[in-house]
Amino acid sequence: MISPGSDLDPFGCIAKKGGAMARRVAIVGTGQTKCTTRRRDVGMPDLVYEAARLALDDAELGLDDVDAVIYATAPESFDGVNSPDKWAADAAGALNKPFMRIHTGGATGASGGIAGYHHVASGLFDTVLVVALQRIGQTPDAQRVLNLVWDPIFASGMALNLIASVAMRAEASMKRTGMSPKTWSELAAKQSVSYHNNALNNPYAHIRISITPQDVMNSRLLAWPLRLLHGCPRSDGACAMILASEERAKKITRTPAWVLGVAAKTYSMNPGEPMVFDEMPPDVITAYKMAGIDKPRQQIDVIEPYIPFTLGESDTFLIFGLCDSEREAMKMAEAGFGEMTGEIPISPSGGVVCSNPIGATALVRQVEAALQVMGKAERRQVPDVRIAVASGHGGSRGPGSAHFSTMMVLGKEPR
Amino acid sequence: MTGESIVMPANWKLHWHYAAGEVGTKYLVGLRDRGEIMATKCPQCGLVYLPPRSYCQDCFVSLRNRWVKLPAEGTLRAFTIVTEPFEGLPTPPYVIGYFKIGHATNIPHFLLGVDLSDVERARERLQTGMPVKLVFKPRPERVGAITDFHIELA
Repeated sequence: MISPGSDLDPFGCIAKKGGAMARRVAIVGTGQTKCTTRRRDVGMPDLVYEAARLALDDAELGLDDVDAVIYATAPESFDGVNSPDKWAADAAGALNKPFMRIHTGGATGASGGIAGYHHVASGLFDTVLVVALQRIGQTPDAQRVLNLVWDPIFASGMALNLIASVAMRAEASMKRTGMSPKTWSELAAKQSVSYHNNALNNPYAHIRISITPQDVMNSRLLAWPLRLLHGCPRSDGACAMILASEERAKKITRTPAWVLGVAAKTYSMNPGEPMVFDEMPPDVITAYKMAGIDKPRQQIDVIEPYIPFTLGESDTFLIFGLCDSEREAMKMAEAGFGEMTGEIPISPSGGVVCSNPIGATALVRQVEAALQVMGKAERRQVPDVRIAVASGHGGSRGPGSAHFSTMMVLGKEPR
Repeated sequence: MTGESIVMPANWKLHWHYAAGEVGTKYLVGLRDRGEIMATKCPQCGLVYLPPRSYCQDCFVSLRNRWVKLPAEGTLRAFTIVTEPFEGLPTPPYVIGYFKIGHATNIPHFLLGVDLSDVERARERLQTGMPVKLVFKPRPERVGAITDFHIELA
């Protein structure tokens, strides 16, 4: 139970609302399907059932144990089903239960996970199943779909897409910091190689290839400085997660992953300037405060961030509050800070760069972080994990697109 | 799965008629009929929205009659040179960037007239803050769209 005005209520929200209590919540079961370019063996909602069934089996629960279902999926134009909620509800186990669909672009899966947390934390539901899916392989026009997420009146002729937006950010950061393209290219390649190597340990990852930094630097240029091997694939995949109240969690598993902190923020549609990411954004600050993280570099053991393009990792270190300056961040990147043998492994799963079933991707980050805390990450397990962090991002600034950002902090022990 | 895997093709042919609304229309008519950039400005925080919006996202007040005219010039804020072809988008290479016109929020647009024969060199030459100018098409060619003008280095 959280007392009004305590550290767990940093903004006085609970006090303001007259003492409503948020209770402890844990992740008790997870399920993932192997991501691929295209799953021809599953039709319609079968892939949703597959992930939901895996999570229930993992937690040794049945549908009767589930109080509500949250279904997370991103633009339906990928899957080509205009009402994906109706289509997937029973495959997600929602028969006779309350059901809602959530969509926040790339953050979709994470928003689903956080909604699941809110449901249980509220005290109104004891066990909630969150299922997320995307079947990008159903359309050859995936890139066109992505070009259509912008404002149709003001931006449609604009060739604005995620790749161009991210490329602009990388270009601007080089000019601002004075980092040479050669150095940037080497750091981005190093990061990409690290993620691809990690994916070789992850049976669920889409892209499992052994590459060298030279492979990355020689891969096709998309938009300066981004190259093919810096970026994510388009994947078919589904993921599911079960959250439970403290009382139920303790009965379900001996290794729950406790949700210590969550945050979700919506950032401006207008591309602010300069395009700088050199400090902890509000959502990270909020989640850390709720989780009692005031020394992130010391307290956090592993990070599963939402990073769809390897940009050299310096801004990741700054965003997560692992250092104070860009200069230090660069040195950390050069020293392999985020590698499996580094100080805080980043993306042991291979990350978004190796699998991107868009609506599910951000839930996979939370699931992978949970597996690390539970000690169930198999060959990608980081030793002695006490605290794991997962982030989600959706949309990207520009006309007709706000930016959604989420954070979840998980721990071996409850607060 | 072994054996046959049936795949059924489908094609949506849907049409939409997007209403630009009162504010969107004034903006597009300004481009088309007068070759002018019209934006809306929040009376509380002073933010100037381009393209114009009917509400301020921070102050949450109406901007319906809060028009300002912007100059046909500005600065480059960020850019990239796209080298990969994307379906439905221009043939590469081309420069796409964010531009600040007057004191408004940044807008995305193409930057034309840049020598892109050497992408690395072109990238080095383009700098944040470089002045740019907006060049409008002749009146008969303007249709009321953001492509009624293009942007060049000044």
